[in-house]
Order: sequence, then C-alpha cells, then structure tokens
Amino acid sequence: MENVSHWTARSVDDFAYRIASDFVAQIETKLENEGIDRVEFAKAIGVTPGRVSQVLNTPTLFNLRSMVGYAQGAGLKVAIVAYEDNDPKNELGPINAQVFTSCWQKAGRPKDLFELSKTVTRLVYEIEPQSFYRGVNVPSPKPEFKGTEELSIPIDLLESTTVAQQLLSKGSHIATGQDYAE
Amino acid sequence: MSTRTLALRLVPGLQVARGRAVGFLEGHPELDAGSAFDEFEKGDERAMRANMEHWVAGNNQPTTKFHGFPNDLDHKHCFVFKHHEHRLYGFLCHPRPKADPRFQLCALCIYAAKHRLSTDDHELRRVEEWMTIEGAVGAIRGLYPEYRGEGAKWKM
Repeated sequence: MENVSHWTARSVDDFAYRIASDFVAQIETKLENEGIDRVEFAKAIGVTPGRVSQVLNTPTLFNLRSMVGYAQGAGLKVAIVAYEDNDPKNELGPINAQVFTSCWQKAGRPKDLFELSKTVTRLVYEIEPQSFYRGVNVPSPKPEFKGTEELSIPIDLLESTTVAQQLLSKGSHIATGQDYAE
Repeated sequence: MSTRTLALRLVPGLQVARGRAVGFLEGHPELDAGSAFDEFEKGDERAMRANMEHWVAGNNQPTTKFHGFPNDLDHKHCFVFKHHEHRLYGFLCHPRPKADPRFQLCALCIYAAKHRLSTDDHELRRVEEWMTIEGAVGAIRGLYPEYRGEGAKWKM
C-alpha cells in the first residue's frame, strides 16, 4: 500500500485546521446531545446566529478567547494539551481531541495528579490489556472489587506480570474499566 | 456497464486507524466521489479530511459533519460526509469479517452538491445499488481479501 505522510504534515495551517475542527466537533456534539439549536446557542454567547454558523463552519476563525467563550456557552471547559506521541515529524497526524476527553472521563475525571494516581491502574488496563494480563490467569468470575487500596501501585510495577500474578494469587483483583462503569 | 475495472482507493494521507477507514470506489463515470474530492478547493478538501478523520477516530457525531441512515431501512448501509453544500455519499461495510469483524470501511461512491434540506433519495438509491454490484465487492476485496459483500457469511 502507498505510504503517504499524514495530510496535516503539509503545513502548520493544515494541522491547526484539524485540531480546530476537532474542537468544533466537540461543541457541535454537545449542542446536538443537549438539543440546543444555533439560535439558542448564539443568544447564550452573545453573538448572532449567522456568526455562530460562520465560525463553526470555518474553524480557523477561532482564537483562544472565542474558543473559551463557545465552550462555556455549550457548558464545557477547554484545556490546551501538549503531548508527545513519538511522532516528531507528524507522519501519523494529531490525536483526536475526544481521545483525551474520554481518557480523562474514564480515569474518573481527576482534578489533579494526586487524584489521578489512585486511578491509574484502569488506564493501564484499558489501553493495553494484553500486556497487563499477559500470562496471567484472570479469575472467572472476577472477584468483587473491594476498594481503592489495591490501585495505589506505581505505574511501572503495574506493567510487570510478576506483580500482577502476586496480586491475583493473594486474592486481589486488578481493577478494570468495567468496575467503574458509570 | 462494465464494472470489471473498479478499484478502491483509500483516502491518501488520512490517519490509519484500527477500527475504521475511508476510501473511494472508482472506475466508472458514475463513481465520482473521488474525483470530486481531488478537485475540491483547499479549504473544502481539508474540511472534508478533518470530518473523515473525526469519524475514523471512532466518533459518531456530530451529524453536521457526517451521518448514516440507520432508521431508513432502504438505505441503512448508506453514509454521508458533509461540508457546506458538498456531499460525499457512500456505504458502510465490514471488509475484514474474520480478522476484525468490527472494522468498518466507508466506501464513498457519489458526489452531490446539496442546496436543499432533505437528503436526495436518488443518491442513496444509487449507493445501495453500487454496494451490491460484484465489481464493487471485488474492488474492496482487492484491498481487503476477506470481503465477500455485506451480509455474506464467512465460511470457516
């Protein structure tokens, strides 16, 4: 198959368009799910419906201030996230914004890194379940999840099959996303 | 009409994802989605790419950018990507039924410029027809050897 660089590697403008488009998609999805039409939304953020359509149809019109305003109008907040994905030449393109949002939600919406440290195990499990349970016989049916203590394990140890086996042999249950399903 | 020369061209430069892909079914004058996309102006082209990639990443909304027709029994496989008046119509299929049955391909077939609110039923009917044509099935099989057509049962 032909090996072609990702289209956002063509220019900064293309990359900027893609991530602005992701932002618009998040806003529009929220409006759809809440049943808010553009007239109502325009009123909420103090602009004309025409301006809303113009901006949502042309994501490059956004600046940081208007992004915050549009997000607030939709009942959302905005984070600007820089990340490293081992793709310095951008051959693979950006990570979709909803991936970050979904990860944060699945981690229990932690407000800071201290809260995150207590929920890190399910992230590890959900992203790479095969490596986590490699060679380990997962009890079936899974034991009932009993608390958060067994989650306080450094992330590097979690990747060790030995540690996972020890935990399971002691009757511990390694939490999965299922345990936290809302 | 001859459909022996049909081919599936994955949208070049688009993100490669585990769960979804988008391509153009080409090789017949009626299959003009790919050529229309190639001739889009820069702004329309990248908007359409961004919309495709949003779907490829696993999102099913917003419907302002793309949507299927799951409640329309006659066109339940059809799918459309939208930007301004531009519409790229195609169908969804599962081209790797054995290796990855959940993997979805959107095979785009037809371009239309839409200035009305309602979707043109004519385009959807044409897409449904293309979906079942043996040449189109073969074109998809060219990239996904497992594919036998939507609804075909995989025999072990």
